[in-house]
Amino acid sequence: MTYRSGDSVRVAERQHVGHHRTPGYLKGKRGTVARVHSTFTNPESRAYGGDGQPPIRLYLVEFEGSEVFPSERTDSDRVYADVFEHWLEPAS
Amino acid sequence: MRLPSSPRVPFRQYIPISEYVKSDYDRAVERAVHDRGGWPTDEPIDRTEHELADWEILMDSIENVLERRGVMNVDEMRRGIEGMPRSQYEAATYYERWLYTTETILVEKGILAAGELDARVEG
Repeated sequence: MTYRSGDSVRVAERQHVGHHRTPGYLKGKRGTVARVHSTFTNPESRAYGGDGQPPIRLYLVEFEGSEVFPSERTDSDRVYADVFEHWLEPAS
Repeated sequence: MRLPSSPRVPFRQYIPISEYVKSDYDRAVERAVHDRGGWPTDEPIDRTEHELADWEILMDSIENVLERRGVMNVDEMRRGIEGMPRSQYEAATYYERWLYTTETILVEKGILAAGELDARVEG
């Protein structure tokens, strides 16, 4: 699934044993696509000697501070992170 | 010859995984050793700068050459660090982790023999 700027997304909350670039503190969190970067080779296969094909789209995702760190006073804070497309799910 | 010890930023006290899984930062998704964003702590961030030791600069150079020559890539390098035993990861400095992963990946690829570096260092 491809996303556009402004789309609501959720970071997949799945266990992944092995190299991946999705930080644990964002798994399961909802955010908004802030920017569509481009496509890049897949680090999950390159980390094991693969060629990283096919390339995967990378997004800049914006999260509200209160979504990521609910126990902190972060009303006006935002967290931005680059997340690969296969780690995102549509959120309503 | 032994590697000189480097000036280092001390690691924060190790937090057992059971501790941070309890916090609301984590949703019980198991994390590898490096995946520590959002760990609860009351300690301030240590922002002090430190000089790099010669061996650390050399380690950086070796890693860059290996990448440019296509011997290993940054994802393999990260994977090697993420696969470190937790106790070693916590005890190691930044470039000690680079050394660990470079040796690990080169042995894995058959470029270095297991124990080859140790033998050279001791010899």
